[in-house]
Amino acid sequence: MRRYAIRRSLTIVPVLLGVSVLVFSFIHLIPGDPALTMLGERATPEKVAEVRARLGLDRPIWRQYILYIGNALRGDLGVSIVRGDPVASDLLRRFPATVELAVAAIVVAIAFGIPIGVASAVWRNSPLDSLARLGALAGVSMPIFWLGLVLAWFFGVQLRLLPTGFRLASGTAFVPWTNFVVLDAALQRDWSTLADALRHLILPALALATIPLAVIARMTRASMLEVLSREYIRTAEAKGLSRRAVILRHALRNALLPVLTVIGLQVGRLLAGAILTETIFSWPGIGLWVYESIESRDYAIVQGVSLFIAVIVVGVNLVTDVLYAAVDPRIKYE
Amino acid sequence: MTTLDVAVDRRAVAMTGRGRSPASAAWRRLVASPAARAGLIMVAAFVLVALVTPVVHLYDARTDANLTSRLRPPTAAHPFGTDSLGRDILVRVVHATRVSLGLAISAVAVATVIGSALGFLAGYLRGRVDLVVMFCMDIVLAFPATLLAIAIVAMIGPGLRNSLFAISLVSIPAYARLSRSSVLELREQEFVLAARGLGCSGWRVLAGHIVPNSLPPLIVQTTLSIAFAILEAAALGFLGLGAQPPTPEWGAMLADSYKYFTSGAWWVFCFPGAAIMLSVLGFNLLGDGLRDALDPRLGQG
Repeated sequence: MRRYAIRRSLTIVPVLLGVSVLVFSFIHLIPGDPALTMLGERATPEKVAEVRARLGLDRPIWRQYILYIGNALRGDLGVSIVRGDPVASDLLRRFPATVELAVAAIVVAIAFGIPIGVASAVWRNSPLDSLARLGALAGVSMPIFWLGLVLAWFFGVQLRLLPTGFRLASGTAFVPWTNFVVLDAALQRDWSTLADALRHLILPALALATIPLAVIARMTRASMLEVLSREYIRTAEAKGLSRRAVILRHALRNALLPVLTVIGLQVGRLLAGAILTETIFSWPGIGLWVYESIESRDYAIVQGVSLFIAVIVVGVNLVTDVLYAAVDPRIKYE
Repeated sequence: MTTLDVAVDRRAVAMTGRGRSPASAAWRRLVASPAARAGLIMVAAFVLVALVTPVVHLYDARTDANLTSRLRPPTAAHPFGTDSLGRDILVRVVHATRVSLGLAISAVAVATVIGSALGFLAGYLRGRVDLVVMFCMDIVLAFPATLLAIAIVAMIGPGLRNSLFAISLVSIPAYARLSRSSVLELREQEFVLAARGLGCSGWRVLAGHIVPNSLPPLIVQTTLSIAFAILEAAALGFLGLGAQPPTPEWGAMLADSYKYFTSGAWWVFCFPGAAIMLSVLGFNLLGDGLRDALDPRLGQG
């Protein structure tokens, strides 16, 4: 087990190197002179030369990569062309907002996805099952930015029930400690701010939760059906255990393993989906930041966020794999 | 009849117990499922709209603006209402079908050819080729597909051609993995060993025996990939990276509507979004149905 964990951890080293090469090469995908493209047509030649030098574009390409990877390893992801701020510190400042949104979304997805999947499998081929399956398929077919618009329009504009943008009502005098607003408000016992933060969280979290919810429901159903056909379930039933105990204790516990893996795989989707969701709801996380940087051609930010998210995805996949091996003793690894 | 046809036919006969070709048996299983039938009809409807529209209705997005009738709700004259430039939304949604579907299908076509070629070669040649190809695929897969597509188009510049490039690039790994695993499974099968024993060359074994027999999962993947590609294309369009105005495209139309949803103009975003969802749902339903129909071993799922 420990040997597997170590060997699995080593496999991410070449992948991370490859990822860094790909992200590094982004800047060379820009047609023409990247420095000129970033600064616009009216930039002075001195300014262009200065940016070229800062990006290291005047050096041979392998030197540029060494420079890039060296800086990245020391936590330096370059500087925003537009504002001049270091990308890494802005990234860390904005990331909590995205984490808050993603955590809320995954909580919603699990809280609804697993019960729906279980019910769907237990009452297989019932009208409930058909409805759940169609709903799940509609969920994975949903353009989440459209769902976000529809939710914002219906609950925000028509019913005026919920706010459609930002994390807090404007003019709220609240100083967050960690930028996890919900957490901070709870720690500071500021209940009205907490309620306001949660109200702002509902719509974007629902929009972002849709696809993971549908995926989790489908996986739970498939996995439950697989387990329910096993011999040990028949044994448990033959022992005279209640249906509830058979389903929850014997079936669900064994069916949850593949569901856990699928939940791990949703992390990347959530972070990519955050770009669209945050844009709709003006949610000040890294997704909205990417959108704004694309508009202002601030390529260092697009590069930095891409690298950051890819590293997180690779890391989460590693943890999921190792956890899977640790939890399921039936699996043997060479 | 080639040796392959005989081999496939025997398998089909053994499985269905009747003397039908595998394709017609799969077709029967497909249309027997209501969900797959619904998917088939939806996909056919969208494809038909995309094919027929330019024949029956000429449209020039550059001259189609009528500022006297901006943001009008649906009426008999404009069943889907009008947008911020007074353009008829029904006309734009219908014409966008061609752009959105065309982009998704061509991106997937490119990905299918490149991805499965890479996978077949990797699985058949093994060794260093396999290692390099699959390593590249792992790197692409380290990124969430949507993020990678967005980042690439943000770098190389917005537009339909660049979107096509990015969407096909992020769709390639699924094909490479699928076709590679098919080859690895099939190369040890008896009919492949028999073909080799009869003196077929390596390429003939690959092209004539392994590739045709690994098509079913690739067909399923293609259908599901098109669904995914429609979503990707719409996401790029929504972020302003795909089709550029005034070209009608579903995602770009949503981006335009985004500025007006607070005014209560629901029809501006409702219809393009519904078109995205229904077309994606259609391809997903069809893909799920094809998976059940093409793999008789799965039984009644």
